Amino acid sequence: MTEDRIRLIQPVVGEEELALIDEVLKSGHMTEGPKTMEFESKFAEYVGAKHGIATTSCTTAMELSLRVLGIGRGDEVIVPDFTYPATADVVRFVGATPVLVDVSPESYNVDAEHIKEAITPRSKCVMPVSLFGNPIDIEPIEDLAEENDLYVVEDAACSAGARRGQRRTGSMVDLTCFSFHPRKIITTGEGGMVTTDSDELAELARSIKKFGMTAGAGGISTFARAGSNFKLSDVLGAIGVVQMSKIDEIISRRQELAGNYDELLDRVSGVVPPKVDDGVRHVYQTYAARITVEKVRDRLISDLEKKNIETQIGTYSLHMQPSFSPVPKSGDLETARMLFENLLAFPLSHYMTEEDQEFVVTSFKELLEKNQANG
Amino acid sequence: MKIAVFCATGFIGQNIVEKLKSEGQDFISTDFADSPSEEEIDYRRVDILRFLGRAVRYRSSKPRTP
Ligand SMILES: Cc1ncc(COP(=O)(O)O)c(C=O)c1O
Repeated sequence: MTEDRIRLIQPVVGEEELALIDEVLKSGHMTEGPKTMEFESKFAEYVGAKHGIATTSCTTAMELSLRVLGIGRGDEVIVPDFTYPATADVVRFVGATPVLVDVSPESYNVDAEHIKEAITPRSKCVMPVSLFGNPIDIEPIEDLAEENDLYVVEDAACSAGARRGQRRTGSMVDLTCFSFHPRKIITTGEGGMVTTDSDELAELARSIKKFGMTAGAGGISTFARAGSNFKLSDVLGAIGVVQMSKIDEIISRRQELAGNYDELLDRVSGVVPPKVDDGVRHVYQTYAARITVEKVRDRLISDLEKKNIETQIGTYSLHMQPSFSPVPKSGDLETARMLFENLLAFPLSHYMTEEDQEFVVTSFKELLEKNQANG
Repeated sequence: MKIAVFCATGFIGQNIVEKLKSEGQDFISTDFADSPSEEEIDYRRVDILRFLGRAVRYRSSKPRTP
């Protein structure tokens, strides 16, 4: 057993972030200000979008996006069943109806075929999720959205820096939402961002996230519409600015560690590593492999924990959560159930070593065999 | 007693219409789009939510195409 716990993920933060936070504190400007604006423009440029609008989380970024599009009562929004509950909850929060659809067993993402089955005249928007750092297969989805007059709001909480061919997550759809929670690619502690190419949507988003304000004559604000407060403090914006200088290094390290797991797991039966399409830049916010034997995953998580190895489930199948029992579902959602019960997220910490990875996979193999033998 | 189904072309509405039809219930359904069913059902094309929504200033800029 190793001395230290092998962590699922660890934020890559240090002296540089502290120095910039210090600058913010000394400036006396602690609400949203120049540092958050710098973070917004650096992030938007990185994802190839015209605008970045910082928020307090990905959840508030998604709520803001739906409010900007005027989605509400009587509207349906198509959401994958295999995602974090926040994706569908924001739909309910704005008063619209989420319709849950199944996902692909290979990419874990929602695909155009499943979306198509749930489209009705009341469908207003589709919210595909680029899960775990793997970008959605955008072309068939955007064709479908175009044909059916649907907005696309992407939940890219886990996928900052992902790419499909030349197309970057953050500039593929109407509005893209990112998370800067500590389990994400870059972090500000808590935080989120909406990116868009639309001047009109960006202006509306900036107003709604700031009490519905617009600039008025003589520097006195005008309140043009109902709004909220989703502003990101400059203390956190400063962390974001520094994190942007590290993002590619963080992603490279995650890809390197994922490649090691691919090789190590190739020698283990009973587990399928995540599949990546050609030409895709998967950023591996999560390295989630599928255990092919049903009903052993949960025991593996607790057995690995005893060896000081932190693992996790992939994510949730919403229709299996009590909160989603009254929500409409399209089809049997069997793939989402299977992934919820059988995906295992391996530790992928920036600071872990190859020896750590070997120890993880050796322990995993041993425990998988033991659990299989015990039925 | 006649049953009224609102939002009949929506995901839930379509399921309700199917169910009521299979049970042979006496119902009328309404929504803003064309009839959700090819078979004969008592359907009125009217957007009740839009009438309600007139009280609300900010609605989507995206037009609904029935
Ligand atoms: C797919 C997905 N969407 C949304 C969220 C919520 O992000 P945040 O914590 O920034 O609100 C998460 C968080 O885990 C997530 O995994």
